[in-house]
Formats: sequence, structure tokens, C-alpha cells
Amino acid sequence: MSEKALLAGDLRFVTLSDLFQILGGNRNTGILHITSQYAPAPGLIYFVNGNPVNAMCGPLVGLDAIYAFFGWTEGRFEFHQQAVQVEHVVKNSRMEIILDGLRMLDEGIIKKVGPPFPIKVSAVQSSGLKYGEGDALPIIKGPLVNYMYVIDEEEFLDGERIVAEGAHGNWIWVILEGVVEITKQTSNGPMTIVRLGEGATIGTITSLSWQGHVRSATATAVGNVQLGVLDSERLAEEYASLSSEFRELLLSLDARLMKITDTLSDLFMKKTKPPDGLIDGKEVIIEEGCSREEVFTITEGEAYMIRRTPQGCLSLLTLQKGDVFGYVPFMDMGREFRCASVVASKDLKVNRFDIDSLRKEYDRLSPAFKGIIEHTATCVSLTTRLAGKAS
Amino acid sequence: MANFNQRERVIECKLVYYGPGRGGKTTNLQHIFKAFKKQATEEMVSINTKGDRTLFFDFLPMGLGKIRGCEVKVQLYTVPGQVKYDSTRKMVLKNVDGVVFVADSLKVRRKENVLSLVDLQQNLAEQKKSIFEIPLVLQYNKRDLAHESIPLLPVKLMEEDLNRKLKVPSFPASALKGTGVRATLQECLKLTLQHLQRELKWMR
Repeated sequence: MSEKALLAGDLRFVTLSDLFQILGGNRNTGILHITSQYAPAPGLIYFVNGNPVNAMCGPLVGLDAIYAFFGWTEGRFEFHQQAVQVEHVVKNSRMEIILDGLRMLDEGIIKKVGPPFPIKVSAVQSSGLKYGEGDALPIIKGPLVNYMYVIDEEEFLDGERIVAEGAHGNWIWVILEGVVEITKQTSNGPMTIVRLGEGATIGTITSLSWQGHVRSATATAVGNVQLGVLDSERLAEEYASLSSEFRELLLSLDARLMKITDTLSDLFMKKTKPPDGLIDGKEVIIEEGCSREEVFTITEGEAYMIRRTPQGCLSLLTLQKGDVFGYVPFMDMGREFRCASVVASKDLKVNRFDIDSLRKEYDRLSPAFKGIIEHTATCVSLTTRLAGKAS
Repeated sequence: MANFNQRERVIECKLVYYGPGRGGKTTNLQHIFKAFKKQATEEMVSINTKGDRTLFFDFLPMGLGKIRGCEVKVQLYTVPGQVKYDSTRKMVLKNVDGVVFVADSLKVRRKENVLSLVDLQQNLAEQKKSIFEIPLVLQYNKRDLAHESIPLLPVKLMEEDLNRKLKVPSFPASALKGTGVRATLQECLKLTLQHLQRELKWMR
């Protein structure tokens, strides 16, 4: 940074809207230089008495140039106090520019300037942990898209974030075209859990019920992506019409995905150690590879999903009261038991679900709803396999 | 934390109107802007965000007096409810000093009110702020519609839904008619300034 700069820093820390407010509040006159490694040339914004009056960003000038800078979320800036002799073409107020700029950024009208893959899996590679086939993650595709339930189409550009972990929303999308990367925040940095392809859904069944509104992972477009917004109201109605057992089963399926994903991220951070003697004094209730059509819900006690490794037993997750386990072939649920077993504590009490009535209810579901269930079940089984491999 | 403009000797505090889409946040601000037009330092900024407009203006409310020789300027914002307006929401809620939650009294909007309040809690948490600590006032808007025999949520039920744990001041209002708008703002301003003085240890 040059010595003349009175104010300089990183745009990731001090955003453009912060800068506008600082320079505005102080009624500064001078030139703000912005550089980004992803932009071929640096940009300039001219301020007179705290108000932006003109700007240059590549071929763009004036207001268009200022707006374009809102997409520069990474980069460096420096402000030089000096007399400004340019044409005052921008007349809008500071706050109007900030609010409108951010709106256009959020609406995708302003293009984000950044690396082609903003979320890297470098942490995975550096930790030496490999999962999936080689380093390339498998892409999970979903069933054929049922357009009856698609009420709107949205396009996301390469690297654009579709949902952010921890944010709110109960929209469910189906991928019509392209690939979406699902990542989760860990203390080692973002971890890519899975890549989704056509027919796969973004958003969970839980989000159709009351409690579900916090996004559990981040979804980012890899290459340009075409998404269909599913009619979540219609799906929510369908969900509400289901029996309480069926809903319990669905919520449990979602909860399982969360749990096994957490296990995977713990393994990713090498937190989990295989506990010794886990199996001692416990009964194996589902043996690895079992495919008996039975589903249970836990009413008391605990069960553990384990995987036998040459080093001993690895606990993949703990099942508690309200959790459902078992094999439901028509829902594609329980496939994870091909590579895992369940052992139970002595005090375990369970209720058995009526498979036939579940099957009848499942058959009545709309194809879109079935698609979401099937997709969730596939994700559970894939993640369990990854966790098994990662150990 | 309010912004202290040393050069101008002004303390700028930021109040945000939050609530479900089409609940009357914009109408509140429009009414205030009209009423305080003479004290507004600039024109109102209005951005067409989907679902709800985003508004901003600042003004110097009369009669607030000076704090330690500084005038108090109030910046009022509404925030777009839709999920996708993430950057906008972050900017608006950054350093927010006080919040007015505008709830919709329409019976059919009961769930939206609760969801939006939970959403506010989460968004504040992202700014490392607690909904239980930030100066907050609830407004039950659209009470006037009762006269047009549109089913409304009884105030008691809305208190139960939204204010049972918060226990903050609440006001029935009709932003369209302008009733309750000023009282809501004044209470929020009062709480905000008290909070600010405590935070800056100006009050013992």
C-alpha cells in the first residue's frame, strides 16, 4: 500500500458499505482505489464531501461502476485525500447507493467477483483424509424431476451461494441442471459434504414442519445452476396430512442425516476416537448387512450405530429416545445398515412400526414428496459410508 | 453501538423496523417521515426489494436534548424479509441500537409473526446481540381492520405468542391511520437512549 493512503485495508473486513459510511460521515474528499486479484484492473470511486460523485470500474463509469464494486467482496482498498476534478455524474444519496447496491447483489443482478470456487476443500486434502472415490466427491443425482411441483425457476451463477448455513428459510429447491456443492462449517474450515446433481433436492423435510427453518449447511453453485422452487406450501400440506408415525419417521430420517454428517465432520477434524469396549455387555440388534424389513422407534435407553474396523468398533452415532432405526426398503431408508450394525444398551425399549400401513401411506405420496424422501435416504446412506471410510 | 461522529458532534443511533412482509413496517416509516419531515436531514431512500420495500432516512428528533454536548441523530431502517436479501439485512442490522418489531394483527398471519420474531433473534445473534438485551418494542399493527370485520388476533393472544418471554413494551397501532406509530417510536427511542447511556457508562 502506498504511503499516501490515509485509510487502507481489506474489503473482507471493512465492506464497501462500511467505507461509504465512514467516508460519508467524515465528509471526506478524495479517491478510493480498489483492487481485486479477480479483476483485471483496479477501480476508482471519487468522493466529494463524503458523497460519491463518479467512479470507474473497467469499462463502466458513474453509478454503474459503483454498483459493480458491491460484487467485489474480496480485495484491498486505499483512500487518498486529494482534490477531485471529475464530472459529478452520480447524484444519488449515499444510503440509496448502499441499499440499492446490496439489493442488486442479493438479487444476483450484480455479479460477485471472486474465485471460481469460493469454498475450497483444501482442508480435506491437507489433513490427509480422503473420502469418496479419490479426491473427487461423487455427485448424488435424484429421481426424475416432477414439474408439477415446480412453481418457479431460479438461476445461480458459478460460485453463487444458494443457501447459507445457519440462515433461515424453508424453501426447497430441486436441481434442474448443474451441480451444487453442500458444505458445512467446521473449526478446520469449510468441509464439502456432498455434491448434488439433477433431481436432487436442497432443503429438508424438517423445514416443512414448524421447527425447521435453520439451514444446516451451505449450498453453492458449481458452474451455472438451474433450480426449480418446489411448492413448499403444497408439500407442507401433504406433510401435515400424514400420520404421526410417518412424520416421526421422516423427521428421524432428517435428524439421522444431521447426526451422521456431524460424525463425518468430527472425523474430518479427527476428534472422535474409537471408544473401547463399546460392544461389551450390549446386544447386537441389527447386524451389518441385515435387510429385515423392520422399523423401530426408541422409547427408552440408547442404541449405537457402529462399524467394525480392524482397530476395533467405531461408534458412528448414538440413537436416543424418539430416534427411528431399521430397514424400510420402499423408502430407500436403512440402506446404511449394509455397512453398519446397531448395538443396544441393556435398558433399550422400542416400539415397532407397522410396515404395511407405512407402505400404504408412502404409496399415496406425491412423486415430488417421494423424491425428497428418497434423496434424503440416499444422502444418509452415502454419508454413513463416507464416515465408515473416513475412520 | 451507536456511531459517534466526532467531527459533527453527533451521536447516530440506528433503529430498525423488523417484522413479517407486508406487516406495515414501510407504512410506519412513511408516516414518521411525513410527521418529522422538517427534522429529516435528507430525503427518504426507498428501495424496491421484493415483498417489501426497504426504506431509510435519518432525522434529528426534537426534544431529546443533547447527550454530553452531542446531538442525537436517529437513523431509521426497514429490513427486507425475504431470505435472499442477506447482504442487505446484514448491513442494516450491523450496529443496530434498537428494534421495533411490527407484528401483523391479521389472524392469518399468526405464524408469520412468530417465524419473523425467531428470525430476528437469529439475525441478532449473528451480530452477537441478544433479543433479550437489545432495546425492543412490539407493535401490533392493523388494529383498524377490526372495524371492517376482518378477523384479527386478539391483543392478548399476540402478547401470549410474541411477548410472553420478552416482556417488552407493546403497542396496538394502525400505521395506515397513524395511530400508535409515534408512541411506538418514542418508546423505542427512550429505551435505546437509556441503553446507550448505560452501555457508555454515562448513567450511574
